[in-house]
Amino acid sequence: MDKRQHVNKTQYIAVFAITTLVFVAGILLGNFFAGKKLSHIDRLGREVKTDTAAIEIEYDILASDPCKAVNTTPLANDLYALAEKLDYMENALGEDNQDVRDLKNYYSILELRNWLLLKKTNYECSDKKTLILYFYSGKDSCKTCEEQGFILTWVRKNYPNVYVYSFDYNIENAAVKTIKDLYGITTTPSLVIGDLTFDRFMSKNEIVDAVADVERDAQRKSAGKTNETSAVNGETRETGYYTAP
Amino acid sequence: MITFGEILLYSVSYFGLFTSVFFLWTMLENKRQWKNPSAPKVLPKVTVIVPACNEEKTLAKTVRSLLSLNYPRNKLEIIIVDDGSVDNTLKAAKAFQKQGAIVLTKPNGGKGTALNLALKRASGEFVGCLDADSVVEPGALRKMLGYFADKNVAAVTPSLKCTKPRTVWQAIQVIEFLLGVYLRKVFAFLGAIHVTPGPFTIFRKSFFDKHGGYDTKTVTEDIEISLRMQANHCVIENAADANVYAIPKPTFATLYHQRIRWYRGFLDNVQKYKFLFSRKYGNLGVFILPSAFISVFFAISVVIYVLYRFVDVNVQRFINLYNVNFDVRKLIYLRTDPFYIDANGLMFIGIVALFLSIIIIYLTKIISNEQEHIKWYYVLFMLFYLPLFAFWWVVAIFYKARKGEIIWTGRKRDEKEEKYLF
Repeated sequence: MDKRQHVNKTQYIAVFAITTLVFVAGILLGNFFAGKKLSHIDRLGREVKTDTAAIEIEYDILASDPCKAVNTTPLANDLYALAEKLDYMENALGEDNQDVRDLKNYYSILELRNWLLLKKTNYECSDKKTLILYFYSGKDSCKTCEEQGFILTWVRKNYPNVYVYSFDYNIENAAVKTIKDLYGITTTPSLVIGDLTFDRFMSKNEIVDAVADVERDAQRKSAGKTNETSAVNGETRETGYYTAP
Repeated sequence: MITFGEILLYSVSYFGLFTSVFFLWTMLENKRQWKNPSAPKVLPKVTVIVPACNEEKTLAKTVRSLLSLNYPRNKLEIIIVDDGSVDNTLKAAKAFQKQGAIVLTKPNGGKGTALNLALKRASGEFVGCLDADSVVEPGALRKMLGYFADKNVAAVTPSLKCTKPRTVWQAIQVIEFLLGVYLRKVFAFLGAIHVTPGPFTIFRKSFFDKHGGYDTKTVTEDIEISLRMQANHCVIENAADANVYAIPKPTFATLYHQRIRWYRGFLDNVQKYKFLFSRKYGNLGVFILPSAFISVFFAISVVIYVLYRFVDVNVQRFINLYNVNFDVRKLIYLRTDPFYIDANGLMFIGIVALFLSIIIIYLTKIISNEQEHIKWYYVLFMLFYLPLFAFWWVVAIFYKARKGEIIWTGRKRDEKEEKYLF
């Protein structure tokens, strides 16, 4: 055998070592940045939590007429942005990733808190929002959930008065469990529009019609309610038909 | 949980990184051997064979490039073999008889038969072949002869490049040919060259005298002869700056037929010489031949996986858009947040691989004296070559499995293609 053809074991071992080093470094770098992104989402979540608490306190401070001063729209937009990033990380790291699951859990609490706040403002203020709760699960157990989620994104982008709160059906969290029991959620996809539960896939037109029904209903109730005069500063606050969760 | 796709992509990345680093290491370790050994003081007689079949349009340019070689005319023997052409190839060949070219003609039988006929007439100590659509640089032959001072060297390969591309299909091939230049040099350092390009590989004639002429049963006699040399523990060298220019195939159809021939021929010849997959044959048997097959397997797997994901994602996308009557006015937006940059392990490994590939191309330009600007060809190559490569291999493997026969046929030059019979 010519010397050129001779297998130089040292070279093979050295190249193996260099390749493995570069490969492991790449993976570690990737994990490092994934960790950074999860921390970023966690920080956003804490900001949303603080903002929510701030609005709740603002609402209570301005007890006489909080409706004019309180603006919940930016908070909802922050929640959607947070959801998008969480969704991105779930696709990148997998739905079984524990950090992602913990963040989703935390996010569901933030959503419910925002939902409760908006239910309160709906009750007490004239500017009504239509609230949709959406329960989904993974591709393996719910073939139409991705389509349903996309339709709901379209609805909330085209109907600014509609707020959508999405919950992973499998989240282990007492608050979410309570909501599921309250509205009888046993399958996915399931939607709660206003206070009506729909335990099936709904098309765009069906959702739009359901939203219109809820808004009409809200207006009817608003028109037929009793006016009460608040003893505080002689101002009037409207009360109406409040359906408590 | 790690997915099948991730396992595949990480495996491919590791393999690609390993081979790239290995070849680069080989190239840099042998930096002192980049320069060719000097040509002998007493230049030997060299015979160059030009087999031609229906190549009236390009033959003259090929032979003129041989006549322009920086080599004593009395030491250069040119034999043109007309392989049963139906156009004016024979007439074009005879025009060079007054300049000393020997012209032979025979019924059509394929390139191998044409070469063997000329071998019987060849009187040179060294023999080369130049395809009738290729041209050689004037200094190429002198750059190659110095390697034959080593008695173990049975053949010296040139640097095979493309002529200036005129179509997108030709542009994609420019980088492929350049990478071939790089790999051939690396394989020479490893004693593992397994393809001696048809255009202007120079052979020691005594090899043919001892081991027989070209195999006429294969359509890739260049692969067969090199594997035969390896089987006999002969050394094949490479002169990376001895430039020969071939016309790259201009259309998808002609490129497709050429590549099916090449890859099917490779499979046939590797099957014939399967004993080469052995430590007895050094780096060729232990690493180069196995990695050739691994790279084909990975290329096909990655392309199939990417296609599957592409279809899967876009079918879902289409269904989603259908559900909202394709009203995307408020759904389209640009994600400018750097959060959404895919900074995962594969991306970083990909950056390293890209960096390595740029170094490799740069090194190739240096060792082969490549002057052309190739940036845009590189972009085209990166975008389109892999799926084409995978496609050609899938078809070649399919034909191999069907046991169809591949033969050379001669028709008019523009329609020349290899015919497949089943």
